[in-house]
Amino acid sequence: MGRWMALEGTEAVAYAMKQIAPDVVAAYPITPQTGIVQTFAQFVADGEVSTEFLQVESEHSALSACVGAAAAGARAMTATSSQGLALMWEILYIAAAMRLPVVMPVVNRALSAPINIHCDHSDSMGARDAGWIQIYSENAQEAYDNTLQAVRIAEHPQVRLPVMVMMDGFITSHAVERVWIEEDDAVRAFVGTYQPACTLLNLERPLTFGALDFYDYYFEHKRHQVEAMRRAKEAILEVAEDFARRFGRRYGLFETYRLEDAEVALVVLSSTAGTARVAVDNLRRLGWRVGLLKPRVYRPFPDHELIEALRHVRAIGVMDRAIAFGAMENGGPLWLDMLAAAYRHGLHIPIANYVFGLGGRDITPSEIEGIFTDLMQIAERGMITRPVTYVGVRGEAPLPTPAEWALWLPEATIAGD
Amino acid sequence: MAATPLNLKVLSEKRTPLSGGHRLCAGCAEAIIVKQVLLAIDDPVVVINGTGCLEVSTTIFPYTAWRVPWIHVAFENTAAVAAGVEAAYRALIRRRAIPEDRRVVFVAFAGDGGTYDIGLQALSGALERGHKFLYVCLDNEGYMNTGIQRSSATPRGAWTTTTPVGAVMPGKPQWRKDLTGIIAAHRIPYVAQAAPSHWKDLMSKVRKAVAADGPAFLNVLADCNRGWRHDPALTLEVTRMAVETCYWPLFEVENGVWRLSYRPRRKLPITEYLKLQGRFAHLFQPEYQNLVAEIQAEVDRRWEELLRRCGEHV
Amino acid sequence: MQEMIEIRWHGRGGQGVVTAARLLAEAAMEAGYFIQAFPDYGPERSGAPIRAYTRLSRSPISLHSPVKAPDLVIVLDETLLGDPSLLEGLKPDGWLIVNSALPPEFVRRRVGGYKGHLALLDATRIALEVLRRNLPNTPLLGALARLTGLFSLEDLTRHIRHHLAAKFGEDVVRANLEAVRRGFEEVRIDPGQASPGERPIEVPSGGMALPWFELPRGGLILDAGNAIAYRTGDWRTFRPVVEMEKCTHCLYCWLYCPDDAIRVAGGQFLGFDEAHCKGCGICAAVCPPKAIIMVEESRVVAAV
Repeated sequence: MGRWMALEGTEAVAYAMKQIAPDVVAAYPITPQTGIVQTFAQFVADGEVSTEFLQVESEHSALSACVGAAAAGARAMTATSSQGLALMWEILYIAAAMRLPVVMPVVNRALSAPINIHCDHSDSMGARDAGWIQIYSENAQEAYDNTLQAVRIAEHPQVRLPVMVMMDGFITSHAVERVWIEEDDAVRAFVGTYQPACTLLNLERPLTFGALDFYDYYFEHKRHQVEAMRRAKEAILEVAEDFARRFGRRYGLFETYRLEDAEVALVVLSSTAGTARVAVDNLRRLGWRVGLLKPRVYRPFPDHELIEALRHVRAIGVMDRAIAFGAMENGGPLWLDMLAAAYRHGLHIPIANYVFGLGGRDITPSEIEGIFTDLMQIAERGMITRPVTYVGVRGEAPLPTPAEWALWLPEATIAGD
Repeated sequence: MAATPLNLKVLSEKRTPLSGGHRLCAGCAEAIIVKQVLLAIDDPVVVINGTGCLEVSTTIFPYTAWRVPWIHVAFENTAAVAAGVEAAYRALIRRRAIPEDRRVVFVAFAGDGGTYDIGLQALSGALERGHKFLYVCLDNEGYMNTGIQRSSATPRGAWTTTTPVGAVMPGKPQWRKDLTGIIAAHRIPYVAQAAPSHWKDLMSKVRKAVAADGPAFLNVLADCNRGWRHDPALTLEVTRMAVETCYWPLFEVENGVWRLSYRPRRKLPITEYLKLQGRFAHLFQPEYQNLVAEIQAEVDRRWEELLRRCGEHV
Repeated sequence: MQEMIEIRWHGRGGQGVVTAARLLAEAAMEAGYFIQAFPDYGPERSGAPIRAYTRLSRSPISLHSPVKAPDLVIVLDETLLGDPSLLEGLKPDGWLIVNSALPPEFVRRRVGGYKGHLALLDATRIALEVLRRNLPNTPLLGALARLTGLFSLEDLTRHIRHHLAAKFGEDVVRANLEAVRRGFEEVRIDPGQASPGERPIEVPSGGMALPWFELPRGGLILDAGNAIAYRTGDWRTFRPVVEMEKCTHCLYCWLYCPDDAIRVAGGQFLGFDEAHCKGCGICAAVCPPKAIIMVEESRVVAAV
């Protein structure tokens, strides 16, 4: 049997790493990921895990060592945040293209400048096209569960891609929550043993890893990589199914909350989805038909499934904790993907963007209620006047409050719930 | 099992690590050094190769010239990748995924750009952590893969495309970095400097390096006839002259003890080395006489410092 | 002249192929053309066969795709004549121009019985005599002025003077002009049978290329040492020749050969691996009894 433990998000992930017992962990401390490295270091020091733990001199070397170890046939993990992820950039693409199943918890933190240690998603969002699978976690439990599943997804024979598992910096990483920790043996049975056929240490069959391609082969290798990402969606669901069978907790590509009969829906990642759930409940009590969709898997992007889940609503709000500077309307990456998906799958309704929480700026249920109010107005009018709102930024026009909207809300809409 | 004697008749019976059909320039010293280094090792080897001439020219998909397991990841992380591979080896032995008695030697190759400059941090980290591997710097004194640009290993006065000779510039204005000294300061078990012209010395050093209990480093002068501007046939002659003029002394630092492994019978003037190479041709114009004298003085100073460290009479 | 003329240059790394493509373009620019000059960027090193391209047009050039059907193919090094891709795409009324002292019949035979237009110039000899360096580009420019009529000898003279006078003394300028003039005068023209209706010359491609789903995952190469199948022997301009009586089987040649091209068995020197020897000359330089000498490849080729 497992047990309940009071753990910070980073501790929960370090616990998952201990139970996975990777052959090699190479990591470098950075706020707010540090809790992972130091908790894991203690497990190593106490002899609770026999991993080769490399305390490298940079994140660039951390991921480089993981790539070397994974090519040699080892199960390899690292963890990072923000600038650390930025320093790894070059090797992110290489790990993915060499098809090495490295697993990396990422504790989301804003990118400099100005230097800032608090949460936003600009670090992992910037890496969204690097070829890694990206899974976002709402809380410590999800971070733990997703880390365990990430190993199986990465090493899945149809996939063989590296996986990032995100949690929100400080909000999740440094908050103590009740986490159900599975038994070591059960985890070991779930993750299994990594035994790749083609490795650098296969001396009988010397292989060449990381050769040079010219225009005659590079494109074919990239196409090969696309196929792995395509197949990942199915593998993620297969692993989630096995996880649910063993441990009872069910995961999909995304999660919905009171979405079935919703008129307007909000799409938001990670811990803010939890806060948004409270806002949904508050507004539902007022009779508003609002719902929530929390993507779990962002890469590969489940475009078709997402749109099908949202097809019945009249307006969608997408909350982004990052800005894609210079992209359309200077909106956020999740919004841009949602717009493209809606177009691709013939959903022609207003989709507004709410950029929030940069550099750890608070986001509260009442602010999210303001977003829902804005969405109700959009749904009513059938059009968007402000495509991107920077929520809570001084000097920006504020969002309406539910009280203001209720003053002239048509009777018909109130009657709903 | 006794080591294969360092005798060419016996060594030539071994399978060469690098096949023909690679696309290094005609006369490239890097292929010669790789052959000497890897033939000196009797145990199975795994090669970790940083981005550079050796890497791009030997593994053009779908062809590889390597007959041993080989990996390339990027430019500045050769030592970090080697650290990961070596750590994986230890972990896999521990969980019995590979047999306990399987001996493997890890050899990293990188150029001076990837070692003196962009890869110095990763190398320093890996040496400090004590991974058991041999790092070989193929020092051709410049960024040759991108077409002959200066590195911190480029000697003073040398022409490169980024230290061109012009009305106000006599080639590279700075002295070269003493990397071997920097590595020795890491107090790793074995550090040495070698040259392929002195093959027995080089191969003996490789054997000491792989027998060392921890990281080992070998800095090898790797003549680049394209970048140094000379006839490819002169590769070994130019290398030999670097040693005979004491520009590139052969020595080793074994567990902190410095030892000179070759002392020229008569130290030749540096001009004997410079005059063989087009990259120094401008130094022989009258206006650069002083610079040549300065170069000679610096070679002498570094040589005498080395002699003192090695306990040799100056 | 037609609206646009496309030229492909063949030479070896280090012979100034890219410079030649550029020099021609610059000369044409002075004569009022719109120009493009670009190399094939590959991994090939010094001595390896490489290509470069020049495009000249009376109107602005917006085309940025490779030259597939050249009007002119210019070969800077006659040891490349055996290359089966030399004539690839050459237009039926196009010209093959070779830096060579060989008679035209011989060149035609070496290029697989080529029947089209041919021009020959011993540009290397002119360069060595006039410029004292093996820079065949300059005399070739003269030959091209004559052959194509793209620009006059006067245009070329003005261009070269303008470019060289800033950097070099009058003697260098004059030597270059002399090289150009001799190229113009000494080019040997051997018109062939141009048949305008014919399709450009096609060369079968290698056929190595696999579809993406048949490639190993992650860019792996599974066959250790398979580069042995790649011939680097055609990089050679000099080849080693051994006098076996002098050989002591010391095997220094084996130790110092960068290309694994010394054949040895039982500790005995057997010979050279011609498929891979790049002709660097190290074996000859390090041979203690001087049993190995380097011989010019073109002479060996001419003899067979």
